[in-house]
Amino acid sequence: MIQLENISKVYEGDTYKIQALQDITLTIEKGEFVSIMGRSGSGKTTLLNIIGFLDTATSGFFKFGEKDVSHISSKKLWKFRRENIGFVFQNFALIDHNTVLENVVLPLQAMNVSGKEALKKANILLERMGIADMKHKYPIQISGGQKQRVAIARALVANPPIILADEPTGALDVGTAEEIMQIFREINEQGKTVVIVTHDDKIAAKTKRLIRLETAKIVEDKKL
Amino acid sequence: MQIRFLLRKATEYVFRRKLNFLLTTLVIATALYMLCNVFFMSAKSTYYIYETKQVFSDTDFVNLNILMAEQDSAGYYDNVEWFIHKLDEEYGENAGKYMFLPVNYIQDGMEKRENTLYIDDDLFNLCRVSFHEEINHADDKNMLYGYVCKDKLGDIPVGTILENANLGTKTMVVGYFEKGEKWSSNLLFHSQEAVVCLDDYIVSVMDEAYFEASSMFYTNVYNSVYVRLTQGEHAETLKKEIKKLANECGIKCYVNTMDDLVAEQKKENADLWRAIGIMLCFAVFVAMIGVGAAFLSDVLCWQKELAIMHVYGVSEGSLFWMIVFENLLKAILGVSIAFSLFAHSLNQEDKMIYLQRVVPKLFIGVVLFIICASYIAFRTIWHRRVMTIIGEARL
Repeated sequence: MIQLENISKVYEGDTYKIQALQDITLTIEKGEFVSIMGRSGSGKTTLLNIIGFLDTATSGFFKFGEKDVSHISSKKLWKFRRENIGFVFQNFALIDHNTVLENVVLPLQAMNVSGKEALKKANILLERMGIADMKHKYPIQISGGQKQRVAIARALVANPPIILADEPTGALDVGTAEEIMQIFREINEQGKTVVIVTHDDKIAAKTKRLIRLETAKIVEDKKL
Repeated sequence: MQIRFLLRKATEYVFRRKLNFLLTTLVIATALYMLCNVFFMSAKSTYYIYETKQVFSDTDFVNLNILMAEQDSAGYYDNVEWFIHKLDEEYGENAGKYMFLPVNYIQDGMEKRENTLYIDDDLFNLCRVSFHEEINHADDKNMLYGYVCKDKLGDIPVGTILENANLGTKTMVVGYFEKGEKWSSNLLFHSQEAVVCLDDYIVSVMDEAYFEASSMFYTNVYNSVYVRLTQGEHAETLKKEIKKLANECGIKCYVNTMDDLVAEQKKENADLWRAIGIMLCFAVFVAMIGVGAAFLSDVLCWQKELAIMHVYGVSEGSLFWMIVFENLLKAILGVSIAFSLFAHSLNQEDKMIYLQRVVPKLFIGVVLFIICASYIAFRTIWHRRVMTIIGEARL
């Protein structure tokens, strides 16, 4: 489903040059549950950005499904992202002045789905996440775990085949982190590909495959 | 482009951040008010050249403005009368004169004013005027009504002959002008009445006998004479001839060709621009900086939302147009405030100059500026990576 070959990424400015990824070769099949681990600066978020069409590689081959997306400009990648990727962030990335329900329907609004249908889909997901009674509250009025559930609901609402999560449990206590990982496991069991970036061994251990990055390179790739 | 979505979001943003919206709108309104002042000064300085050229069907003529006597002197006005006769003799139907005569009167306890323009038949075709099609067939144009006065035609139908018992003259009502027809009262561009809208005027085409009978023509400050050039005649030569004749008759008058007046006006404009040029640059600079800073501040306030929307599939172009749309809403309100406040401070004639010559240009300028300023503001935040913007958002 996702095939990367010799992917490199260099951030370059007038006074600096950073090799964020170097010759990354990796394949993620449909329905996998993958964790990407590494220290800060190892390139794991950059890798997630490239897989999620938020950034483009400096060199290398990137195949998504049957399509070569290596040479598509970053300005045109938003369509791929909209149709295929759901994102979950460490800081939840909720819009503070929108209610829980409004946050969840955002991807559907962006796809011009009718208001009635969008609300129906969002309500089903909020029910599934166990936060249906919070739908008219604002992010500031709910707990961290609830916020992350809202973020997951938003990531799922447009029914993308891939969920990418950047440190989704980084801002949560141990118990809540467990609950969130359980949700990701269920999502994966329903057939979706889930890729999680984390620096926590315990979180990584709950996935089915571990990819470890160090200084911009893959140093370990194993089934769990 | 996701037009429905971006319109919804931009509108939502306006309502969610009313204070930001109002403050930026006030900045725009203030900046525009300042610009209205400067652009109006500029437009007014060139207005009469533009407008006079619009009014005349032919600019090959020499214009005379006869000056009043410095002291009351019956002898001087005799000389004026003699001078006019000499002009008629010399130039025949090429010399034409006219006179404005406002009359105030009381009707049903209300003070009213009737504006009448008396003109030579010879002069009538010098200005571009058109008539209502119903009376277009009239050959003998004796008396016409301005557009606003046309209701009087109900009481005084076309074809009515009006008799002035005092002067023993007769005039026939032949119709009315189309709306907005104008007459150039004289070619001194800086005069307050250089171009007059005829909407509330009665225009009476008079024969020579009337002018001879009316001492008012010779004593009226607005009196003026146009002398058309005959084919092949040079304007400067004609000007010299008329000046010589005026000297012989002991008359003080301005004699100008169209080119003289345009050159004089342009010289005045150049002096004015030297004085206001720095002010204009400064005003434009301050306005642009002020509005640009306000836009940037607003975009910075919602960069996190923009980044989130981008992550969830809103294109970069849509986000940009979302910002443009929001800023256009502010601009429309700001423009409405500034333009109407400024218009309110002007008299009727200045308002016409303002509406014709300032508003359209400034409006186009505002729209272009909004798009450019929005683009700069958008680029200022968008050169950073989306994940960085989201990552910086508070937990």
